[in-house]
Amino acid sequence: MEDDKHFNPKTIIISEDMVEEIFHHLPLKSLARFKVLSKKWRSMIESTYFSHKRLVRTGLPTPNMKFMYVSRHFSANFVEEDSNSTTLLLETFSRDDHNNNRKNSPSSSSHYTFPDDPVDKSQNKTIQVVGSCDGLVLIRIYDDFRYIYLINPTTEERLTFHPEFTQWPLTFRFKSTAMVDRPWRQVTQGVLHYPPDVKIMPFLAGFGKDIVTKSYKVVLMYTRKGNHDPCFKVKVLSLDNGEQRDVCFYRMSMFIFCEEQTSVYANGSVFWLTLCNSRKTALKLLAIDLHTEEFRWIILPKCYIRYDSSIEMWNLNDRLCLSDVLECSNLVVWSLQQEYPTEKWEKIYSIGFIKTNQLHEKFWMLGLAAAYFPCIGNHRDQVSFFRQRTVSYSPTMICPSSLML
Amino acid sequence: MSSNKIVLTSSDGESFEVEEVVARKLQIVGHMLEDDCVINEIPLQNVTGDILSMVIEYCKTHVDEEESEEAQTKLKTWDEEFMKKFDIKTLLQIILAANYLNVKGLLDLVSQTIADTIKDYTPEQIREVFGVENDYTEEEEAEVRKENAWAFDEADTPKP
Repeated sequence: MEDDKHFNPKTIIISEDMVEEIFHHLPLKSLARFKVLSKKWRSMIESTYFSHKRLVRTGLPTPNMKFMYVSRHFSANFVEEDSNSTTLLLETFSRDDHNNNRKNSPSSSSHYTFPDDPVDKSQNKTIQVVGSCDGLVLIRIYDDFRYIYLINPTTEERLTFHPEFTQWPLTFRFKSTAMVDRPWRQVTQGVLHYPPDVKIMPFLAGFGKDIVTKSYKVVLMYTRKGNHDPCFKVKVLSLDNGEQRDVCFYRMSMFIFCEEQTSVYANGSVFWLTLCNSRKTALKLLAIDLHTEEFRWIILPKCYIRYDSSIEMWNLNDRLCLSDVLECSNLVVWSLQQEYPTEKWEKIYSIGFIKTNQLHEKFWMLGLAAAYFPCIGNHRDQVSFFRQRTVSYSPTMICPSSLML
Repeated sequence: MSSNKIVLTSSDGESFEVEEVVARKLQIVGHMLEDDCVINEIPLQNVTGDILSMVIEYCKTHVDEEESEEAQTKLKTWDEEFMKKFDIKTLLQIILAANYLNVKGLLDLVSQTIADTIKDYTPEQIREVFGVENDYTEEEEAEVRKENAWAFDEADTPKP
């Protein structure tokens, strides 16, 4: 009341709720600048709460969608033997910059240096985007996932995780699936004869958010024999507390994971594309609900059931989308609308493109710019290589280290 | 029913007679009417006459929101012109009123307009406008500025 009576002409006292309401409408650059306001506003701007409300408010995240490309950076005077660190170059691309200068140059690029493992320097390096959710991108450098990095490309902040080794027991109960059954069903006790002392590292991972508890989780998959092992073990790393928990053993006969396609997070689940082991054709999607931590199968749209691996998956407005992006003369985009009682795929877009040597406006609109990045750089022959290293994301100000309490 | 008139009275005693459909755009009024359907004069304690008149102007224009693209474009143009009339001080008063009277569309419109106005402000200007107390030490503030240097570049250096 007092404030209403004698405010000075320049200052109207409005509640923090209202300031927050206004801040939801600000571009990220302004928000980054306003982190300087006070400690309180800084933690508000960096919070997941604020980012979620802001994404909901701006409605469709697509117009702001960017994509990034990660590669290894070598300095001019690089000598392999002397180096005891790995530097990644992360380049981001946005529609605005693309439209303004009509070039395919990145709108920002930044470097991240990570120390190499002091114990085992012979580790093979496989730089790959593992997953992405809410503007955060999970990247691995090593073959065996011994370090994985959560990066916010907008703020350039990062966090490192060390997935634990796991041991393979002699006997274990596993869940299995038959071709005809959609959900996984509990089956008998499996007995497997493996040397018990072998330490096993993950071969695949995914990243996303439990939409019930709002906590972020990394899903780690372990096998004894890489992708061709019918049995895999699952651990979940909760970012809330850093805890790594065993979830279950699974048996997935007949299928292998399509390693070219990065896992995609959408609407509370992480999705992987799987191929039929014998024919190498895409057949189903494997998904884990990050709340229940249960796996399930999803059947692809009919036209893709007997298909090779050129299917691209991505997240558009929190729905899983997929398309054969190399089919430029008739590009069809499918969106997973519902799963129960049966999958309902909706054709949300269909267009014929003659040229893909520039990023068409529609590619940005559909969140497909990342998929066409190799084409514009005339790297068509290396599509699978680029697929592992590019990802679309909706920029946020979420600070990776603030997720861990 | 649509011709039913309602009188809205501001905190400084100014009265506005509006049609019920217009008054219902103020959700606070809508709720009152649902609770007790025989009210025809409503006192609004937290809003002055000059601000209330602008809110009513917005509600009158938005009273029947048509779906057609043409109507939407027309409304959008009107919104833009309407917002151009106000300085930041008035906008802040309107946002408070829109929140109190619960006019969703206006709240969004004013929030966006204020955000567009302040997006290039310096942190100092923001602190002044919103009365934010700076609780950083000098060193801490310098550190945060350094971490977010990319967000400051435009003001300092012109783009090549």
